[in-house]
Amino acid sequence: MSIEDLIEGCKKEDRVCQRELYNMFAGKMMAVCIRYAKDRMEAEDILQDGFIKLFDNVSSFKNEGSFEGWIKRIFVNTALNKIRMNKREFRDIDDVALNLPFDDQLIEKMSENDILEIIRSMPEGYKYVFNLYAIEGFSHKEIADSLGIEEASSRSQYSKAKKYLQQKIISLEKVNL
Amino acid sequence: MKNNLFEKNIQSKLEGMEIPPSDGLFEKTMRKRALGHQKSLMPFYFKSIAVVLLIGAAVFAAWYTSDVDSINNVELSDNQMPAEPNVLANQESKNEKLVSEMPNSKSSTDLPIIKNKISAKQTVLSKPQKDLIVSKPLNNEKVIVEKPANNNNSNKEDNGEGIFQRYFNAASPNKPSILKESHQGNSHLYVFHSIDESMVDAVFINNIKVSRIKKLRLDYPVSSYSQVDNNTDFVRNAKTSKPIFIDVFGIGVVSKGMPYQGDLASIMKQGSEQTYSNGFGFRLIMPLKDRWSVFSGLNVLTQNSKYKFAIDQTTQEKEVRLVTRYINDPILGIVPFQAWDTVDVSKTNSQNHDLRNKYTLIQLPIGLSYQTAFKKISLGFNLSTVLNLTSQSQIMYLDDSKVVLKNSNTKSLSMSHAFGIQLGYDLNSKWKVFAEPSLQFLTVNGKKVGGNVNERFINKQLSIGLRYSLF
Repeated sequence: MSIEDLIEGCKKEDRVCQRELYNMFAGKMMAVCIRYAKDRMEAEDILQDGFIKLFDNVSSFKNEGSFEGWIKRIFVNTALNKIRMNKREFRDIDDVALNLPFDDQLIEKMSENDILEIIRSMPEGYKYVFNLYAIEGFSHKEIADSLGIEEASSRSQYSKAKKYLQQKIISLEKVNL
Repeated sequence: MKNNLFEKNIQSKLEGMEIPPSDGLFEKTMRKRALGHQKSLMPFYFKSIAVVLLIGAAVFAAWYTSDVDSINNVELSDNQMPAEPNVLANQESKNEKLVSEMPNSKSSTDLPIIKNKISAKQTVLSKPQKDLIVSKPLNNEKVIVEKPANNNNSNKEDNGEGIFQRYFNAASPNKPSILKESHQGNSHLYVFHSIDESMVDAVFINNIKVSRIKKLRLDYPVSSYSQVDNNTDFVRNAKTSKPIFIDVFGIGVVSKGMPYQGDLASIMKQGSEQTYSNGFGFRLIMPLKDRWSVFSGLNVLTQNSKYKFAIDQTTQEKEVRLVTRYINDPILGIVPFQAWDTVDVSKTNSQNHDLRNKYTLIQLPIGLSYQTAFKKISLGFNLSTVLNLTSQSQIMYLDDSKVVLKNSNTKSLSMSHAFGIQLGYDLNSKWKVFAEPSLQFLTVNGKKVGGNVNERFINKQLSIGLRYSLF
């Protein structure tokens, strides 16, 4: 069944199509949710809420642009809502990261799970900005609107988050050596 | 910045990443979604009830405030007021009670002092004045008059007839009668019964226009004279004749079935969807005492239910797979070869079902109603127990994964309970239009007529109809 057929089936509330769509995207969206959640349980909560929103609003998808991009946006917004609901406020972090030289090849040597774990272990102030900017492709203005912070704050936090991540990658590489 | 190698590398690493969620999360998600939809329906209905209650509260507030204003607005100028002692003007807060408590004796000694009773709303007029009349025709028929006596010894002379002579046209065939009188000190209260509203409206006392008291009234007129007392020339023993109301109405229903008792009850409950039903009915309402009435009637209602659900069937199958294996050959080294292997695989198939049931119910409600009115608007609260007869059913049921449609004439009885708030508007003295949002808790014995489950409903109903008053 093609993705268009699945979308049409979901618009008609066809349970089989809903299940197929779930099977197709649940794993990918879980990987998105877990980057924002504090643990797996919260990630599954976000995943459930995201799929509920998806099934409720699938009729508003007009086949313009990528469907995967559209649903990814739903899950990211659901995650941000969850953060707001749980009153996990964005906090500016002033830790000064060291300016170490970074070799981009290091990322390629690392497994995806290691990178994910480093991102998840970041302080919340870094994590949300980094996820939204570097991975989801939000602009700093969109991040500022989503998190209720100043655009300049988003820029500075991203810069610090990037250095923090690079530092972690370098230290992990040293341990492996 | 987004085009930096660092971001690109991170993105490409995480791009295709998948983390499988826990087993059964899809079913949990669908259950959560079904529950969420059920919850989201409730506020709409409660909003409509809130609107009706708000209008009721506004009517009550209008009555409550106008009650005081009607006296406070009587402004007397000094030249309109002969020198007399201060007057305490009292109002009776439940004037329909005065009608029912009309004394037969005219003697003031037989009468209870009603100052305490009527002190719910009172205004002390500080300026000296001669007379004050506060009038209220209860559907054109009742006037309350209060005046101080000219002197302490003239109570008997300045009785109801005296006031009547002074304030109303004594020669009129429609002259008012005294319903009740009471005397305390210099204050005297006379409750007159008048049949001519225009006469009440036309009354001026010392150039002061008589103002009406606005109060909630009975939902029907207090009417008619029973006899005339020739000795006093006053009409006495006024009676209230109670009407019978006839309501004819159409019913619109929004509801969701809640299956219980049956193998598929829990799975069908998750897939229950909102349905619209309709019906019509009539009822007779008989006033009892004060604002209380009893009612009964007959409704014909087509009750629909709809369930969309999937049943997962897991089957064990054997699958033949091509497998690559290796032989460690001492001469050739590791040699791969392909082999056929049989593996057990469990497959889950979901089958969608869409079941719709339709019951034709004949309902016999028996209930109690509290009704009140202000000007042309009436407000009623109806509570009833309903006997339901399922006369016809069109059932879709699952038989070995196949949906079977069945028409049944099997009769079954059940009980339900309903509560409604009725808002009415008087078109004229006989006809009224009304709207009544109500909740009905209904049970239908679906298994008895061949269905998979019994069903419960919380019907959110709106009845719109006409009321005819039969005297």
